Amino acid sequence: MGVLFVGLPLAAVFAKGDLAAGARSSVARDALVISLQTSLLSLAAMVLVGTPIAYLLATRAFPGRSIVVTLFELPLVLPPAVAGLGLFFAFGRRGLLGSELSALGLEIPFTKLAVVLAMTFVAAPLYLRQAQSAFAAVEPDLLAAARTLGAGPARVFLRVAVPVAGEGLGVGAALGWARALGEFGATIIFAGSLQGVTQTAPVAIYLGFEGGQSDAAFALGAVMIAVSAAVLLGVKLLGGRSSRFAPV
Amino acid sequence: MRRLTAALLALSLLAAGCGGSGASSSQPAGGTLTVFAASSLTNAFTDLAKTYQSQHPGWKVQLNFAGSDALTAQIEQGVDADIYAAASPKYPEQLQGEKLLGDTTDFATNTLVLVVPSDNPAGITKVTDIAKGAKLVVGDPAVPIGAYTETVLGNLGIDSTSLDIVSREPAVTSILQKVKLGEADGGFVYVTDALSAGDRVKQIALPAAAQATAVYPIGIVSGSKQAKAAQQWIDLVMSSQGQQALTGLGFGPAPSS
Repeated sequence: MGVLFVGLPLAAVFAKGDLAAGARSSVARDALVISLQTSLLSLAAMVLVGTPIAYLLATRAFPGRSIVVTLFELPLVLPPAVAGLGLFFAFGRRGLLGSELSALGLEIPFTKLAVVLAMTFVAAPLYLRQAQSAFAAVEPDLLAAARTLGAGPARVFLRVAVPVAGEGLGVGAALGWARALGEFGATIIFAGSLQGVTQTAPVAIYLGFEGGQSDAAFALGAVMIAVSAAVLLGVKLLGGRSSRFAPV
Repeated sequence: MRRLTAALLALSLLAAGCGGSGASSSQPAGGTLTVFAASSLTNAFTDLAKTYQSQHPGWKVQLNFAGSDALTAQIEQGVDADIYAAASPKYPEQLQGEKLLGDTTDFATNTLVLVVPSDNPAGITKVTDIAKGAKLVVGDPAVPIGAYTETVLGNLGIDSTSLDIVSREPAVTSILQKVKLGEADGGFVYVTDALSAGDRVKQIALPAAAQATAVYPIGIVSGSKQAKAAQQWIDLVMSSQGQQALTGLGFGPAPSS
């Protein structure tokens, strides 16, 4: 029953999707390119900024730690539309930082940067959680030993903690990237939709359905299912080898 | 939860009861009339439902508002509906082709207007000012408002590629929101939507010659078991009272055919 419930709708998209017609559609091609570009940039931001934060949260105790952890987890449960509005109210040209950003000549809404911000806001918590568990599972003795041998905090982090937690970080990165790729609600609000600029695959799918151009929508849908399946399978394989994998 | 279940059960029993006697010529004394209508009709039809229920005691009007395309898909899937009122003739014609909808009557029209934020950051005073680098949010060509916008721009002799269009949105409501928030300098929406936004936006009328007119048809869904009550709903919409309710909200009157 359960397998049918999940499997049938997914299979139906493949059955309906005319992949060849979809591939010929410039809307579908542009959307996939934009989705790849922006989700990879978002992944880079998550990993570069999120990894040190996750390490600190996993290894240091400080007052208010659980508040910070909760704050970082909130976007996981918020409706993405709320995230989109929040981004407007913070970084829009009428937002809290609007005048400062305009002074720098930056108008973020309706740009590729807006897509990346929306994706990162929604998806980074997945990476952060996974990375935190991965760092928490690193033997504290190992880190202490490195310090005794004279390694500074940055060196301990980069040369010991990150390599040891590597597989868990990889799992987190895959999950975060997949979530960024599927992001819709925050993106359509904060970044809007413009073919070849800000229109990601999920947005193109929705518009294709609205406008009755379901060929491209179904084809894009099939591609999204294939990519997501590949990512999840990769995570399973990584996770299967790693005892440090903590399920989200 | 239990009370909700009980209420739903009672409602479905009621509906089943009405359905049974529908085949005979005598109209049941009451029941539920299900009206499917385009989202832009929300305020107008909600008002008219109250009028209908007071004129026809025992009858309850169940309203379902969504995009005309989504409603069409639901009717094609065999949902139980008595009335379909759409924001464009396209979908009713499609349903008639599939023998799922009876004859239709055009009951209202809607036109477009340019809206700008109340403080008008781009200093737009007439519609042609949009070509001076204003950041515009318009409808995607795939949805009716986007198609009508293309028509208007064409009538104005403005090449849309020369405009700074920052987003093509899936719905009128999202165009309106982004203008209201002041994140866009302007956008094209239906007159009825602009009215509902009050003074959060400023309206800039289009020259009559450039207008695109959206026509709203209404009809009885084939297989409706309460065709008489459904016809009474259409009569109400076409009556002077119904037409006043619509024009009061910014709709144009039924086009004379």
